[in-house]
Amino acid sequence: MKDKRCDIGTAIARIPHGASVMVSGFGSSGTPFSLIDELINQGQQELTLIKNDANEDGIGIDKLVKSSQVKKLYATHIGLNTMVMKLAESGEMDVELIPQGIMAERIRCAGVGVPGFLSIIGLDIEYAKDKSIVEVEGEKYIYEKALGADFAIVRAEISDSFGNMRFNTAGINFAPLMAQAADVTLVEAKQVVDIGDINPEDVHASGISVDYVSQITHFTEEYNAIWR
Amino acid sequence: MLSGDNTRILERAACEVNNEMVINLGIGLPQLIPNFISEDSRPLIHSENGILGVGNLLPFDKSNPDCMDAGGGYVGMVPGGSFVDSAESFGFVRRGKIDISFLGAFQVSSTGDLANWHFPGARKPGMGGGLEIASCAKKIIILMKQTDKAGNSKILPECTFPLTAKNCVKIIITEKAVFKVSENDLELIEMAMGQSIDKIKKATGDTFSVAKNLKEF
Repeated sequence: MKDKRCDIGTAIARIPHGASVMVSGFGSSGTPFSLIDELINQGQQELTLIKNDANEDGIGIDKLVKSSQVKKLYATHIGLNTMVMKLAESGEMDVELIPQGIMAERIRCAGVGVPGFLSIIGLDIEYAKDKSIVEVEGEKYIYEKALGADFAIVRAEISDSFGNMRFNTAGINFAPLMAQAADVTLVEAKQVVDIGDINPEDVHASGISVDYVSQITHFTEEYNAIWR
Repeated sequence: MLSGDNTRILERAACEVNNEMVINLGIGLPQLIPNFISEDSRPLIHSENGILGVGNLLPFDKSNPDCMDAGGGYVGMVPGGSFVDSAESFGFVRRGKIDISFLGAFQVSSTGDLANWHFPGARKPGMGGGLEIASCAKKIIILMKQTDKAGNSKILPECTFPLTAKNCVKIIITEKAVFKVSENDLELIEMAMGQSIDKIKKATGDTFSVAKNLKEF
């Protein structure tokens, strides 16, 4: 079995300028803060990010936006990030808003080798205006195209050296989907263990989709619960 | 502190659930419903980020930082709960496994169209999971004030704001009244204590029928 362990700097150095990068997490839950910090440290430019949301002020990908590394963001909800809403409104940053389950399923499609799926969600409202409508056997559907990316950066609670992952509670959210959908997947884990240390029946997502496994070495405040 | 109006809405909303249901709660007022549900009618609460069996809100210093609900609150779990990924969570939604979703609204039409994701003129936050939940939950119950801050009815013949879903609302609960909604009829089924049909008519932007066995709540 391939040993995929490496330090975070080496893993992030694989990402070039202009790459598309999926980022796990729903708000802070499951966001890979160390991989994001290293992207800021290395300064890759013109990134296209795919994440559920834009995090909050001073947290996660908000910092990537502030350091002007983000060209485009695909997200489902940016309401907790006023700066990103302003940038989207003024057109300074290209933000594409997608319904949450549609985004999840489009990513899932990319990860399971399916070109897209047919959907009736939003067919009779404004949402359908910019979408491809197809007619099959007399029924109309929206064609929702698979959404992949060059890279995925995801957080696991535990990963073995092959990339078999376990997640912390609701931190699972988009991580297994993104890990499967991207061409190259980077994992940061709170704990990196040896092969055999995770029982096969306890694996939440298989390491088959993972390329790099890094131990988190610096736990920033972002990993903690935030008072609000 | 909850206003008397909101308390009345929440108490009435809690009457809609039983302990065999799976329910989903929109952000804001609907999230407070669990405080009004008696122990023996507790439904299983779904949160679209991937939780089935949401428990109590926890103070941040006693929480698991990753165990958040879709509203960003740190939550505990009830026995029998489970975590799933986002695709599976919305699979439950689209497959019709959510018995009731309680949502807020900017506007509801008398035929059950719902506008609750973008307030025109305000910045666009994104629709989150709203489109799918509104389209696919078995029953959509709206909790809202009868009128907006300017006193205009939020129940209208047609919504003027961008729609979340068409013909999806089944029940509207306001501080004044409970309406049953269908594609061809808006029916007043209950009115709050101290209200009259005339008072409710003045605060409703469309005509409605009155149930034969009109109740008070």
